[in-house]
Amino acid sequence: MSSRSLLIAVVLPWVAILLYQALNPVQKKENVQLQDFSVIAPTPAASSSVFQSQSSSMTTSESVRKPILELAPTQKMLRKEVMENVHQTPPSMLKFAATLAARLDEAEASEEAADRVFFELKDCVLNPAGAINTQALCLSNAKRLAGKKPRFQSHYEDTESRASDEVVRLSR
Amino acid sequence: MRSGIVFILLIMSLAGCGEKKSQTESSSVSQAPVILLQSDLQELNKIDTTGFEEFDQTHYRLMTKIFGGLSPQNFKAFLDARLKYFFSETDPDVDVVPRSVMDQSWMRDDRKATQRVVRGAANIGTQFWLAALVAQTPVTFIFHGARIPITSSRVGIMLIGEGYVSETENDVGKRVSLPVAYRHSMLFHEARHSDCTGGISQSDVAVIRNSRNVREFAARNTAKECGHLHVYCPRGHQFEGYAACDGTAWGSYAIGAVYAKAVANNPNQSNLDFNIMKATAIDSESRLLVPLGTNPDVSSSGLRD
Repeated sequence: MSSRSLLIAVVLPWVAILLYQALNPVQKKENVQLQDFSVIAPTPAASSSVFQSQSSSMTTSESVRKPILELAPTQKMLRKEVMENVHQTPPSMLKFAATLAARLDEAEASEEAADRVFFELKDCVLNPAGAINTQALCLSNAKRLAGKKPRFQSHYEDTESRASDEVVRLSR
Repeated sequence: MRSGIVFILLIMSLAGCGEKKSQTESSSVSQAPVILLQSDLQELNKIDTTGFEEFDQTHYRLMTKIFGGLSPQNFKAFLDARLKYFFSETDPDVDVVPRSVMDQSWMRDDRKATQRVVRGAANIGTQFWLAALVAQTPVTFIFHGARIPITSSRVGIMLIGEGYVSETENDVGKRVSLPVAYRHSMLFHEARHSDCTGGISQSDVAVIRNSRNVREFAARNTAKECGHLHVYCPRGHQFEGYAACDGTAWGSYAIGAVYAKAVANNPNQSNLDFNIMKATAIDSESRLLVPLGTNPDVSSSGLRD
């Protein structure tokens, strides 16, 4: 093959590609911007896909669920209920238990929900203002979830290591 | 005989086993809790014991030591030996005679009555028995026409209140059924109050007799394992100031906690049942003030010299 043939067969196609890219900078830039936008602010369609398994059957009240930390009964609330009924598990603790059960059900049905629930449980365990009984129940649930989804195991161990000894003892 | 039970409710304020309640509040309570209880007692024969053996093996055989075994029959026998007569706060056909025996200084709570009181269940038989011992008077419980002499802490008289429920709700207001095991753990807790472990001596009785009110009784009581009455939670405890703790090993909270933990150990149960039983176990265990050890004594004795 002559040097002229070599130029036509190998070098010219590359020159053509480089020229094409140089002449279409706007199109390339737009693509980058779209990708960036989708990461920073998901479109409604992308957002709904994250919670797809719940959104179709959610009621209005269910769709505005609060984080677990905000649902945990406070120490003051538990004391008030114990004053009214010394003997038994405070009703707000039972309600919290029922709420956590629903969250675990969601976590088992969706990986995205599992991520959200696990780290909400972690926040509950490590909340310095939390009641120890609620912290212990959250830690129990984190352990249960980690048992079903091993990818949380190291996160669970980290959470347990940062929880107080009393919370860990009660959770077992 | 409606006035009889109202009288009992008004004077009961013994270390967490009873609280003051007005007649108006009492009359609003239905028979539903007792009906639920009857159903729960039937369910004892069908207890799901999955996970009990594994729990027992890894926990010093505590279940076997407490209940005598791991079969539904064992759990039923534990209750039958300790709880026999059940009635609601509106039951018109119960009374105690002589009524004067239930008005002793060591039972009195001089603090202002709380605005609202909810009672789930209260084993008041041991209280009647102690009252008879301290007053040195025979006491009889009248139950639907039957006269039951109170001669043992295990007479088994159980008051069921509006807090004995079948449901709770979650954060979005959805009603959910509580597992029957939750109420069973409550019954095992109450049953434990029937045990006068180690018996009670004449000097113990004298200490009770000389107590001027229920707080003094709780502080001075030397027979702490007789009836396993609750003590006031100490300073710094989450329930500080309330008679919501156990000051001795293997009291009622410990018994309820062991059962709840064993049920929570069932690998097949729903997230709801797991959470309710775990919450129950955590709540009970948080009220224990002393280490439990590994050898619960669930025997019961009477008056000794």
